[in-house]
Amino acid sequence: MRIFIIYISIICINITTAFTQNNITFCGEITDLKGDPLIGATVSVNNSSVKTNKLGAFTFQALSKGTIIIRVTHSGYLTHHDTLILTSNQHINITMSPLKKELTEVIVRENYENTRNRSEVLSLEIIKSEYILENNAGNLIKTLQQLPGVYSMDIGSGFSKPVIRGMGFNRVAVSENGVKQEGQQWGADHGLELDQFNVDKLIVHKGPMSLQYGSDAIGGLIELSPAMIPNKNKVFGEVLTIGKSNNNLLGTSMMIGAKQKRWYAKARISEMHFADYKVPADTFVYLTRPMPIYDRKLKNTAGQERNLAASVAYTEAHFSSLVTASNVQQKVGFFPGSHGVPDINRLTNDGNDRNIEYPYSSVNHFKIINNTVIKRSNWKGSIDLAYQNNEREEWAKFHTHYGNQTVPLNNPDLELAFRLKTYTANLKAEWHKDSLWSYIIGSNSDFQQNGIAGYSFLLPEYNRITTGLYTVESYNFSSNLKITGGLRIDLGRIKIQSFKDPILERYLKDMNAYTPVEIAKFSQRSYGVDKAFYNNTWSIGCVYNPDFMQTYKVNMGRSFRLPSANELGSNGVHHGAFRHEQGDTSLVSEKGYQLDIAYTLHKNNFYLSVNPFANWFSNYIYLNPTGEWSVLPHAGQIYKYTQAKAIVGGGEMTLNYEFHENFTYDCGLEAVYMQNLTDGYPLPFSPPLSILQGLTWHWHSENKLVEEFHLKIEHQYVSPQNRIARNEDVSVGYNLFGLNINNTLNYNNKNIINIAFQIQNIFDTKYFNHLSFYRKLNIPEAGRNIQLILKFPFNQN
Amino acid sequence: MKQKTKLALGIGFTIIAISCTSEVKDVTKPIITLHEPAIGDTLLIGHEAHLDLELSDDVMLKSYKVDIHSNFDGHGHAVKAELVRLTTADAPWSFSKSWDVSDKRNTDIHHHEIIVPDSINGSPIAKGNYHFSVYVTDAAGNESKVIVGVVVANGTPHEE
Repeated sequence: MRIFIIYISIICINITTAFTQNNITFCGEITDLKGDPLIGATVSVNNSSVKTNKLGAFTFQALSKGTIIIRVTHSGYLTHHDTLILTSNQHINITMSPLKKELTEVIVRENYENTRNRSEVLSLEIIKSEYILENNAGNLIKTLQQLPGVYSMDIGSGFSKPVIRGMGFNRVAVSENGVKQEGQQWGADHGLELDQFNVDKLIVHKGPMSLQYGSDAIGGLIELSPAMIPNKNKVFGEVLTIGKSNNNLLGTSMMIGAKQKRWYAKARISEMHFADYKVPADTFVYLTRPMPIYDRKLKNTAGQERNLAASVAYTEAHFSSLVTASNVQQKVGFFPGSHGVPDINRLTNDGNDRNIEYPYSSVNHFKIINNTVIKRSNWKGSIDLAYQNNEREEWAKFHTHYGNQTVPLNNPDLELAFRLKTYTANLKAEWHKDSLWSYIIGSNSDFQQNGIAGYSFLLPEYNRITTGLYTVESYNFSSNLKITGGLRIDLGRIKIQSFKDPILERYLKDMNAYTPVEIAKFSQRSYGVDKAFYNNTWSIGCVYNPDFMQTYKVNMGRSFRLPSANELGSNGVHHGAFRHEQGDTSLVSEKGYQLDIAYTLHKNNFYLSVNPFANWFSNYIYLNPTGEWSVLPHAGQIYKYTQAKAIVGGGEMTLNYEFHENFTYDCGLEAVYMQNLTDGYPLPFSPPLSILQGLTWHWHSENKLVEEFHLKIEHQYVSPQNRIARNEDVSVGYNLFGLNINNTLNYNNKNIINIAFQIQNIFDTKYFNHLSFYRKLNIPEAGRNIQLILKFPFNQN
Repeated sequence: MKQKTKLALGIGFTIIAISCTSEVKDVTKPIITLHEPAIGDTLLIGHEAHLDLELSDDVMLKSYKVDIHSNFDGHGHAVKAELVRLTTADAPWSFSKSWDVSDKRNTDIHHHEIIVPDSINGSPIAKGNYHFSVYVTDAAGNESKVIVGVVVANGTPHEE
C-alpha cells in the first residue's frame, strides 16, 4: 500500500514538473448563474475557438504573452466578451447570463442536466441540492424514490437503503467524489450512511456501471459530486432547520464556506433527533394474532443522526486537489418484535417516545477522500485516494438460547459489531485526442478488512482485495451521433475466516438428539474461504441527437458482482430475519447482460422520456428455501444462497407538460418484472408498479419579496404486488396524496429564505411498502406527516 | 414517423415486461391450527406434552417441526420481572424434532411424543417461560409457523 502511494507521488511530481514550460496555457470553466457547467459553449481566443467539455471546461495552449480577446457564446445566453493580458498560465471562471428573462423556463431546461443527458449513453437522473430541499421525504433515499426507477427500502422512519430497477443491497453502489462507499449494505436493516443536507450534486445512473466502478454497481450507481467552487472570493453559508410532525423530528444543518483566490474550504454540521413514528393502525397481525400498537406509535423506533463534514480544495490552472473528510453517526431503535417474537409485554407503552432502548443499532461511518486532478490542454489525469471505516453495532440486552453461554465481561449487551475498513486508490487518465476521439483509461483498487465482535455471530471476519483496469473510448461520428464503448478486467480475492461455535456445539450435544455429523455441520458458523475471482466486463452504446429536441440512446453490456462474505461463508440464524441463512463457498461471480434504450423528446413546454430495459443474469444469487429443517432454536427451514438464471426487465416513463404559463403537469411511471428462470418463481424484493403524478402551480416575480412560489399536489398509485418469491407476503396496492409548497423570499434583491412545506400521506392512509424492513411483520408505513424546512442562505449567489 | 415507431416500441416493451406472466407457481403458505398447547398452557415436568394440531395446504404438505426453548430473558428486550428465570442453577430445556407429512393436503396431528424431562444431563430442568413453536413446510418450500408462550412447571396432570 505504502509503496503504491509513494509510486503515485513520484508520478505526480513528474507530471507537475512537466508543466513548467514557456508556453502559456489559458483555461477555465464556463458556468450558468446557478454555477452549473455549460457544456458545448464556444470559446474563442484570437481567432481560434473550442467547445467546452462535459465539465464546462476549455483550454487554449501555446499562447504567447500579451493581450487576448476572449469571446464566449452559447445558445440562450448573452455573449460574453473580455480582454485580458496574459503574463503567465491563467485560469478563469466565466458566468453566463441568460438571454432574456422571459426565457428563463426554456433556458432552465437547456441546462447542465439536459446537456449531460444528451451526451451520455446510459440513462441517468441528475439532482441538485434544491431538489432535495424541495422534495425532501425524510432521508436521501426516500427523496430519490420519487425519481422513476428508484425505490427505497425503509428501516423505520429514519433510514433507508436504495433500490434501482429492482436491484438493492450489494447490487447498487453509492459513490462520493469517485469513491465507492463501503458499509454493511448486504444487511436488511442497514441504512445508507450519508448526510442528505451535504449533497450538492447527485446523479442516479440507472443500469450497470460496472465498467467504471467494478463489482456492486451491477444494478446502478448513485454518484455524489462536490459543489462547484464559486468564482468570486467570498465567505458564504447557510443555516437550515427541519421539523416533522409524524415522528416529532427536529433537525438542523449549518454550513460555512470560504473562497480566497486558489483556496476553498467548506464545513457542515447536521443533527437530527426523532421520536417513535406514528402509523395509521392500532394493531398489527403477527402470525395470525393481532398485536397492539399503543397510541399508534411504533415503540422504540426513535433515532438520531449527527454528521460532520469538511473539505479543503486548492485549484490552479493545471492542478486541483480536494480533501474531504466526513463522519456520519446514526443511532436508531428497533421495534421489539423485529428482533425476536413479538410479545405483548414488550409492546406496552413505556411512556417515552424519544428514548432509544434495546434493541438498537448504531453506526459510525468515517471517510476521508483526496481527489487530485492534473489538467493539460487535451488530457486530464486524476487520482482518488480514500480511507473509510464503517463501524456498525447492534445492541440488545444479553440473551441466549444456549444455557452454557456466559455473559461477556466487556460490553455485555453488544450483540453484534462489524468493523469494515476500506482503502481505495483510483487512477484515471482522459485524453481528448481531437474533437472526434476521446479515451479514458483507469483503474480501481480496494482493500477491505472486516472485523467482528459481540456475543452473537452473524458475519465472519474477512479480507478482500479487488483491482480492476478499464478503458473507455468515445467517437463522435458527427455532431449528433456519438458512440461510447469500453472494456474492463477485474481480479479479486476474498479470504473468510472459518468459525466453529463451541457454545452451539455443546448445546447441540446436550440435546442428545443429533449425530456428531449433524452437530459438526450446524456448529460450523462460517466456512473458511480463500477464493480468487476474475471477471471481464464490456459495454457499448450510442447516443443520437437528430435535432435539438430529441435524443435516442441504446446501450448494451456485461456486468458482474463478486459474491459477498455472507453469501459465501455464513451459516446460522440471521437475527433480523429469524431465518437460518446458509452460504455456499462454491458461488461464482454474478454476471449480467443488459440492454437499455432511451428516448427523450423535449419540445417547447413538453418533455417526454421513455426508457425500457432488460437484464439477463446467468447466475443471480438469491436465498432459496431448501425444505431442510434447521436444528437451531427459532429457525424453520434452511435458506441457502443459490445461483439461478434470471431476467429483470421493465422501464420508466416521464412526462412533463407546462400547459399554461403558471401550471405544469408531470407524471412518472416505473415498472419492474423480475423472474427466476431456473425455478420459475419471481425473484425476491420485486418492486410493484408505481405511478407518481403532480400538478404544480408556479408563480414567478422579480425584485419582490416573494420571488418564486410553487404549489404542488401529488398523487402516487402503487399497484398490488402479487408476484412474490416463496415466503414473501403479497402487498396490496394503495394511493397516496401529498401537498408541496416551495417559496423563496427575497429582500434587497437577495435570497434570504427558502421555505419548503409538505404534507405527506394527507389522508393518513394505511399502506405497506413491499420492500420495507418492517413489512414482514405486517407493520404499515408512517401515517400523515407535516413537514417544514427553512433554509437561510447567506452570500450564496 | 420514425420517432413514433420507436416510442411505440418502447411503450410496448414495457407493457410486455409487466404483463407477461409465467405459469402460476405455488406461493401459498400451509395453514397451522394449533389446538394444544394453547397460549399460557402449562407443560408438566416429567410428563408428556399433548400436541394437537391441524395442518393443511392448497397443494401438498411436506413436514412439520416442533421447537421448544426457554424464553426466560425475553430475547434481549427490556422485560418485566416475572419473565426472569426462577432458579438459575437449573438447566434450560430445548427440544427440536420434525415429522414427515408429505403426500397429504390435510392432516390432524395428535400425539404425546414430546416428553418434558425431569433433568438434563443430571441438572434439574429449569422451570419458567418457554416458547413452543410449530413450523410447517409444503412441498414447494412455503413455510408457516405458530409460536405460543407456555410455562414449564411441576404438577399432576388433570384427567381428560
